[in-house]
Amino acid sequence: MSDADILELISEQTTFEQGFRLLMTRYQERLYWHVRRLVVHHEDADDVIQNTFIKVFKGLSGFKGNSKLYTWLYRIATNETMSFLQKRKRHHMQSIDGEQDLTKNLLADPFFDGDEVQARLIQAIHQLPDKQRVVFNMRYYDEMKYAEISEVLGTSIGGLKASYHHAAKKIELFFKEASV
Amino acid sequence: MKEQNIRDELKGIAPNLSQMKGTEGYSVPPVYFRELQNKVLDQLQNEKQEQRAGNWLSDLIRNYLNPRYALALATLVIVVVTAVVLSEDNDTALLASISSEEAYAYVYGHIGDYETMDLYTLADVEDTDFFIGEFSDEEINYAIDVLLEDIDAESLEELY
Repeated sequence: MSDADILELISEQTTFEQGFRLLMTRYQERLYWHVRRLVVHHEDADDVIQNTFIKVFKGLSGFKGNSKLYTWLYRIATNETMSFLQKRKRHHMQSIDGEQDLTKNLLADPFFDGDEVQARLIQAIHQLPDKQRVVFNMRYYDEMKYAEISEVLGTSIGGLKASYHHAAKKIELFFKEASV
Repeated sequence: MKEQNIRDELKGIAPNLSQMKGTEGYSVPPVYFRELQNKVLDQLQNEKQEQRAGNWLSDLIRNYLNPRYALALATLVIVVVTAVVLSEDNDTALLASISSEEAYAYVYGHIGDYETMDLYTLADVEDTDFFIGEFSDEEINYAIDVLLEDIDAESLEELY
């Protein structure tokens, strides 16, 4: 079933639920992992992804199909995550960026099955500025093309390449310094 | 192929990073994604109900004051106002077309309908003594002639 078919189902009151479930089945995991990588903890990711789908519901009538459905969903999820992170910083809640013991916390987290290297990589990524972190995750974990990332973030491909390059260099340095 | 390109790109920038797994090691509670759908759909039902409750005013406007009805109402108002204005214009135009002789005849014929003070006011006469006291028929007729000579169509319309 195509995205257009799903949207058609959603637009009819009698088939709305079926359509929305199909939309979620197709995209919820990819969007969840995108959000989770940015907020780290499952509880936060759960809140953000629910809000994301509420926003999707509210915005569906305005979706004109100028971009791919997946790109549009990704953009909403990214914006929702960024607002969550900004709010968290504003309210002086526990900041993942400045957290020194993130590796230790992750290893004790019931929803983290990775090893120490993976946990340290997450800590290194979370020391990056927000924009670099988003670009790095989309390229490194989601394996997205620069053109796709550009469509989601509205940034030039040249700018994205530079961000990714800087991010990778910083992470490499993080591991070098840790091994000294 | 795509993954290989990304890894190759990374080798040149960050060789150690390119050797890492490329997975983050996160997990979720069992059946989380199935429950997520139910939680989101429950929230959407609530959203829809709130929207329905909050939209009664816009529904009212949309259903009962939609552009079609508003246009009909506006047209009706324009027609009524135009009719009133034209009717007034017609009265003025009609009065302007009355000759002095016709006006004299009308006023003489309806002289009993007017108060003396109304005639005085229309004539804009400052000396009120002129109207005080007993007058003969000739004097009254003379006064009316004087008044009708000064009176304009607009004032005549008020009298009429």
